Amino acid sequence: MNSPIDEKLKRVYEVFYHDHDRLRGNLLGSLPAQPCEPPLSRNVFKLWYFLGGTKMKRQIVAAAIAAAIMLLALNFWPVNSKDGIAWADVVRQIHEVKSLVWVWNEEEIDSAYSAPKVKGRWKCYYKDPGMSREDHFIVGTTQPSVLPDATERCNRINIRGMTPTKSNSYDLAVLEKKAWIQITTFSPPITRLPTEAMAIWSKLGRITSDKTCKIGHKEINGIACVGFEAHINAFEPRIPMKGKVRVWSEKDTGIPVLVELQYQAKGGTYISGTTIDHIQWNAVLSDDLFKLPDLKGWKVEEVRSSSEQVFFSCTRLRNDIPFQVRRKDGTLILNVADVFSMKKGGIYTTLTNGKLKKQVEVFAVLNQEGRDKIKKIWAKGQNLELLADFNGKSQSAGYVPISNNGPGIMIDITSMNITPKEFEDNYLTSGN
Amino acid sequence: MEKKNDTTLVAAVLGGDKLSYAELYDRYTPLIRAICYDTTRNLTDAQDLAQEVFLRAYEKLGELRDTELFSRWLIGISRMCCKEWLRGHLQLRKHQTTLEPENLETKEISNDGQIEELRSAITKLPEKERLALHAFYLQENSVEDACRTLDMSKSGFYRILDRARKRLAKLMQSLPEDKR
Repeated sequence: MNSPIDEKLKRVYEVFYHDHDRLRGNLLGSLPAQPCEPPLSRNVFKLWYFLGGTKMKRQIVAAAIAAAIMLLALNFWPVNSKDGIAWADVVRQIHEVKSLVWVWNEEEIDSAYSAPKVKGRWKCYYKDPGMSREDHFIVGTTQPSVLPDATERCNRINIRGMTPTKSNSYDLAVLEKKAWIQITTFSPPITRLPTEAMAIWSKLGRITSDKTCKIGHKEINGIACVGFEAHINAFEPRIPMKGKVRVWSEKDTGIPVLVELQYQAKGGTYISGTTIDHIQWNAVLSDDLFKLPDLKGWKVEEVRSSSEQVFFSCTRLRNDIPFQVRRKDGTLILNVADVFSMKKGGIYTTLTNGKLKKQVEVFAVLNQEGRDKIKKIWAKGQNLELLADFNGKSQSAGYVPISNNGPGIMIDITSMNITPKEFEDNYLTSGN
Repeated sequence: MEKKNDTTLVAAVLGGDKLSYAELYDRYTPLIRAICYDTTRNLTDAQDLAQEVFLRAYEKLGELRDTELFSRWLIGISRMCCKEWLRGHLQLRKHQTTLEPENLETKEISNDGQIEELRSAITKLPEKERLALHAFYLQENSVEDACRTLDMSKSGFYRILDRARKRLAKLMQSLPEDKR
């Protein structure tokens, strides 16, 4: 490597030796007495060396470790820690359940709310979507059972089965030594939970986390549980009495094991109202459970009914329709200005011992002013038998059942002799 | 006298032996000055910056994990000091004058125009090749020492050195004849 460029390069680099001794002397003179000590022990350094070579690498590794610890903490605390389930876990279980069996122990509370009396219990089955069955057992009854072969005396059974196009509802009861069956067909099928016993899970699922608090731990049937409590109003805002609902859930999964509804008695003490126990989550349930059972040896009176509902696409009453709702004595209660929209219509057919009865109804959604008027009558406890009139000439009128806080009124238009579709064509418009 | 390795010298410095640090200084200062010169393009500034590098290295010597890698560690410090110097220098220039970055080049340090051109050409090489040249020519043409200093294999070092020399020759070829 002694080419001409080598010689030149040597000369290039000679300059970097200039003044070397003087500069060295200056540096040595300015050095502190001791270089700094290692800030950490050698072992720690070795660990850092193992984790990463440069400072940047060490920082990245440290950040990654910190992030991993945080993720781990978020993942396991408080949701899955030993007793760390939150109300959201309970609600999630309710929303995701596919089949459910439970026993609803119903206790009758007298008017003074002084003491509960056991009224009976419902054994409830639910299978997604929309299939349900409730077997009612009355304690201490002498009546025969609906199902003679059953081990327990059962006085009433409500079943709702479902096909893709319709729901079949069977109500079985014991009436004067004969079985009475009402078969109702709903089209389109009803997927919502039908009764209060079923609807309790929907109501529990609507309670938000901020309205619950943890009340402690308890072992129920050998299962370690965490308890949550909510005011009864969080569970059912319309309920007039004070009370609380308690849900005991498995501490690892959030699956409800026991539900207790307690009401406040006049003296301020809480008395038990309803208890839900023997809960089986995602139990395997046969579809046969939701079909009409065989009633051996009973004289059966069968009532068949069907319900066909139509949701209107035009929902506004036409301006020229003189709609009015009056009391039987003629007092005006509502007029067209109180109606927000006409929502739906339905044909309800009943066949009892060969006699056909057909009822046509439409449902009117009221605006706030209209609702207030209805509530006012309700609050006074006045007779709610009202007549609705869409057409003064024909004098068609219908009975109007009104719920306390319902958003509207159901009007019987059977006497108008038209179908819900014809009602929509003749009385409704899409305009504002 | 047998040449002490870096590990021994660093251990001695950590034990309070400043003369060992002088030995390390003698061994690596030309290289560090050359590296600093690539940034400052001014010998005085390069010398000052090299002093700063050695001062910092002494202060932080206790943090050096692998004493065998002293030279690489020192080069790392010099890179950091060069960046800081450049940043400060550019900011200063920005406030003082509108000189372009290439005008950072200042006084010539040799009367020989060809040497100056060669020095200038070296600064135009990629950093890896520049370092190989610095290490080789400032370590008394010892490939072993240069490889140890740069923590490289011999074959790798030769490849880079060869590439650097060829590129340098090409750069010089492109100059007018009187400046080669």
